[in-house]
Amino acid sequence: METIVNYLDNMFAALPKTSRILRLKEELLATMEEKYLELKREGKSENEAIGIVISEFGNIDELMREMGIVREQNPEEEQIPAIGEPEIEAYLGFKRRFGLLVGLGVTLILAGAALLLVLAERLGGFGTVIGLIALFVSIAAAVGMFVYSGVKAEQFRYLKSDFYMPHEIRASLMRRREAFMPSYTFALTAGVVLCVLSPAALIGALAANESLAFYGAAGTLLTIAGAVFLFIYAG
Amino acid sequence: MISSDVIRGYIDTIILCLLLDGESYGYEISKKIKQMTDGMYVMKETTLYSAFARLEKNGYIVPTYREEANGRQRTYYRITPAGADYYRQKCIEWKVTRHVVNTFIREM
Repeated sequence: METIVNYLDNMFAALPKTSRILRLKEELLATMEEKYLELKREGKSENEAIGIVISEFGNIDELMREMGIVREQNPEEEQIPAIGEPEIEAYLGFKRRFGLLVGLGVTLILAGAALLLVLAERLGGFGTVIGLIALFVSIAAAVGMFVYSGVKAEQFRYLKSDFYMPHEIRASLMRRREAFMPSYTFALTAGVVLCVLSPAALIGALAANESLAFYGAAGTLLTIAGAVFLFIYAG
Repeated sequence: MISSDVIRGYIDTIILCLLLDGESYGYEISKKIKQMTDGMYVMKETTLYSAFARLEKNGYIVPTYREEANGRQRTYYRITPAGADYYRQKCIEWKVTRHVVNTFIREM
């Protein structure tokens, strides 16, 4: 009997829950239950009885048409946005700028930190102040870039959920992806190499002269900044 | 089992005919149809309830809601004079239809 209740629930799942429809559902359930019990009394097995009741149910759309009820559109089923060439171009253009902006932002902050080190070393207290100001300015600029990118990203949020993409566009995207692969690999490799080499500046400076340590640290930071930029841009 | 396409135009007639004998409800009507046709025609649930909705809208039947012993509400339908008129017209129509179609039915 539970199978029948579930079956009916499914049939009515997409329909508006008005009192008229709920009454109709109750009525149908009562009829189906009576039929089911009678079939069981006649000696039919549970499965046979359920099978007959469900096979004799009919078509819910027929009933809804007659009652003048339009099936509620299932938003996920009916409104999958279809995306075409212009949306793709806009998205790819945005992705490129997004990578550039975020990469630049991170690089700016690290460069600011490096500048602070150098200025503090060269000009003492005064340099530290200038360096700090420069650092804050670069952080502010970077935050601006992040926020701007984030707001822009909202526009493409719908791409996170399901969408429909025509076949030929999918194919052309795959080709472009392939074409980008070498530069992607190069950027990643270069980034990793830079990371590995970054302490070299510091170590080299230390080996040459203690007083150069700050320049070495700054060099390390700048190298890391370059690497981070490559990572983000490629991603 | 006969095809539902053939009988479609006479579903309302079948139901009205059964209601001429007195008020009745969904399962009882559906059971009678199966019995009287020796199972050659089984009316689907949605077909039956579509017909109820249509007949009620046209004023051919009137529903009454009644509480059953098990606490469930059940809808009983009663035929109206307009329903009986409509039934008579359909009977005449069927006789003509039968005559027309029979003209083209040969023993082979």
